[in-house]
Formats: sequence, C-alpha cells, structure tokens
Amino acid sequence: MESFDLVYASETVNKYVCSACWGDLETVRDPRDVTKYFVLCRKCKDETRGYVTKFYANRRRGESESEKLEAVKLLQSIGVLEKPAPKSIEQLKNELGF
Amino acid sequence: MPIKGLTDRGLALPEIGQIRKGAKKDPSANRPGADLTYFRVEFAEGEEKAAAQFAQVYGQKPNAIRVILPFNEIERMWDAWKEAYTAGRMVARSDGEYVSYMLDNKGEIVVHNWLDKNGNKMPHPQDNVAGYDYKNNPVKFKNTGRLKVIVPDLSRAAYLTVMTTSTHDIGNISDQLGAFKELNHGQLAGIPFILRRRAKLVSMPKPDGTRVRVRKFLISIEVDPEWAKAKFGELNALALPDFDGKLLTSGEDIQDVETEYDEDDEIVSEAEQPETVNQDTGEAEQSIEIIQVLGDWAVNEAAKHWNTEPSDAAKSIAKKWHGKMDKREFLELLHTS
Repeated sequence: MESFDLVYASETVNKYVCSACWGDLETVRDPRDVTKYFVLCRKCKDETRGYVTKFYANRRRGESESEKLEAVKLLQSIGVLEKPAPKSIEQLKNELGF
Repeated sequence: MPIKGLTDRGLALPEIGQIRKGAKKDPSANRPGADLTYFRVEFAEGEEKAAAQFAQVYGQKPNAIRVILPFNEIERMWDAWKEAYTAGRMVARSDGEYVSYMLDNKGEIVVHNWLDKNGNKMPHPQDNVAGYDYKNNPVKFKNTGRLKVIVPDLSRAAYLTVMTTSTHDIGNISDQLGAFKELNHGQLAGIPFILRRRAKLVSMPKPDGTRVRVRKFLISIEVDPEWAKAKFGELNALALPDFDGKLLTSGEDIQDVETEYDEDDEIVSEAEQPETVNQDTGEAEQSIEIIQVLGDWAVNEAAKHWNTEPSDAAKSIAKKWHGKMDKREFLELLHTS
C-alpha cells in the first residue's frame, strides 16, 4: 500500500470508498514519513487493497435492486429457486393494511 | 483464503466470489501468479457454506463449471475494457479506440463520459500509456474482462465474477456471447452454459523477436449439450460455437489459433515458460510447433527425404495429408512413409 501527501490522501477519503467492502476510508499517518498518510478502509484496515469512487459504488447499489428482481424472477422460472406460495386474499389485505 | 468485505457492499444482488484463471500472486515476486489449467474459485468471507457446497459439486480444481447468465443484455454482465491502475485506484479506462475516463496525476478528472474538459473525445494513446505515477513510471492500460455468472448448483440469487486479463479470453467471450445471443433470438438469461478451460495453442513472441506457439488454457463458454439438443435438435446443436457434444469432460482440446501477441502474457525466457510444464503432473513438456503440411518447409523436407522435386513432393503430400500438424508428428510420418 502506498502512502500519499495530505491533500491527495484527503481527496481520496472524500471521493473514494474501499474497493472490497465499499466502506468509508480514513487517513493513517505513515510511520516512516511524517508528511505522508496511508488511506485505509475503516473495516478492512491493513488489508485494504484499493479504492473505487463513491459515485461508482452508489450507482452499482442502485442498479443492484433491479438486478435482484430480474435474477430472482429468472431463477424461479427455471426452477433454481422455489416460487413463493401464492398469498391468500386475507394475507394480501393484511399486508395492505385493511 | 476468503475474500474480505465482498458481501458487505450493500448490494441487493451480491457478488459472493470470484472465479480466476491464475494462481495467487506471490507477494515477494513482482509478477502475476502462474496460469492454471483449472479455475481457482475464491468465495467471500462469510460464504463458507456456499464454498463447501461448490466444492462438493466441483472439487477444488474444476475446469468446467455450470453457469447461467443473469441478463439478456451482454453489457450488463460482461465488462471488457482497457484499464490502468495506480495508487490503488483506476486512473483510466478505454475501449481501445477512445478513452472513457481518465484522472491526471493529481487525481483530477480529465476525461469523463468519453469527453475531455473541452468536450472532445480523447483517442486511446498510441503508446498505451495512461499517465505517470508518483515515481514517474509509466502506467499502462491493461485488458480487463469481468463476467457475472450465477452458479445454479448454489441455488442462490447471487453472482460470481469471472476475471481475466487475457486478450484471447476477452475476444473469445465477446464472440461467444454475441453468437449465442444471435442464435437464441436475443435471449441469454437462463441458458445453461458450461464455463470451461480449454487448451489452445497461442502464438507468442520470444525475447529474440521470433514467435513460438505455446499452450494456454483459455476460457470458453459452451452451451449445455443436453439443453442445446432439446432446443435446437441434434444436428443444429452441433453447429453451436465450441459445442463438443460431451458434458463436463476434461477440456483437453488443442486447437491451433492464429493470434496476435497477448500484451498481458509476460515475455519470459524459454526455460521459464510456464507452458513447458504440465501443471497437473509437473512434468516438462516439449513445446508444440505447428506446420502447414503443404507449406515450404514441409514440402522441402519431404522432397529431401524422398529425393524428388518439391513439386512432386507437394503432390505426394497432398494425397496423404491435409491441413496443419505438429512438426514432430510430420517428421515421424515422413520417416515411416
């Protein structure tokens, strides 16, 4: 892992997240050089491998919602996942708050 | 070792692991891990149950995995780019013709959504250099391919990513997905495929500038033969790309492919070439040299052996053999003829 100057490290913390878990980053002073900072994931710590932009992570999270709906429907249609049992009228009414 | 954090991303359709072609990188050696003949499947931390289920079906060294693709649109599950990375982040991405995204060495975006600050498209750099790192070393673009697949044997709405950096794989996968989509009237989602490692001979440059054919285990996506027969009928199924009529065989099918230099294949001395060692047995293998039986070399060799004119030798060869073959095999046949 490479250490950066404070400006570059702060920019990285502001614009990027961890490439593995997409969690927030933080700066940690480089013990070998007081002017440099490591940018580490708060969760992955020393095992931080890299960064992806917050923009990318948020976009993928959004896309993933519709991807799941499609994937589940597909897997149910080909018998990989079980289709849920049909709900009774009473259950539907309950869920709708009647 | 599991991949940390992969399932913590908050994705509704989570990535639960990665399917890789090479051995793990040795941290002490500054080069990629050796190419394997099988897939190395790594599951995310917390996915131990899925890993065990996978191992039960496919073992530890699978060279064929049953998969389905989650979408009909190729671009939603198949990413093939030239990407450049430094300081832990992607600094440039290109389709090989134009740059779609680029950062300068201060981390400022200079190309976004295919346009630079002046609203112009930036052509892919001729020297393949995306920029320079802190130490002023050039950062080059590298081929990167990622394919999202669902493994039905896991019975999960979750995907694994097949990773490759080989030019040959990226070309193969793009062609095969395109062909299947065309054949199946635009539908890819739900077709049972077999993801396989297939041995193919690839032309690579040697340090002295000459070329040598080496055996590489490329990725091939093949439609499940049983499904193909049911869908298209026996005869038409045989016309599908790379369909071999067998289910989950060893995948050893050497074909001669004319290819250009794969920029991700490191140029190593002949003694180091991983292809000269059978990765299953660890025994050294001789490299295979393919010749045209009616090429100049073969005709002259036969003329010398039969003590005739090259034109007569060519006629005799044409009666006996056709196409291409291993040079050693040709010499053996010649000497026994």
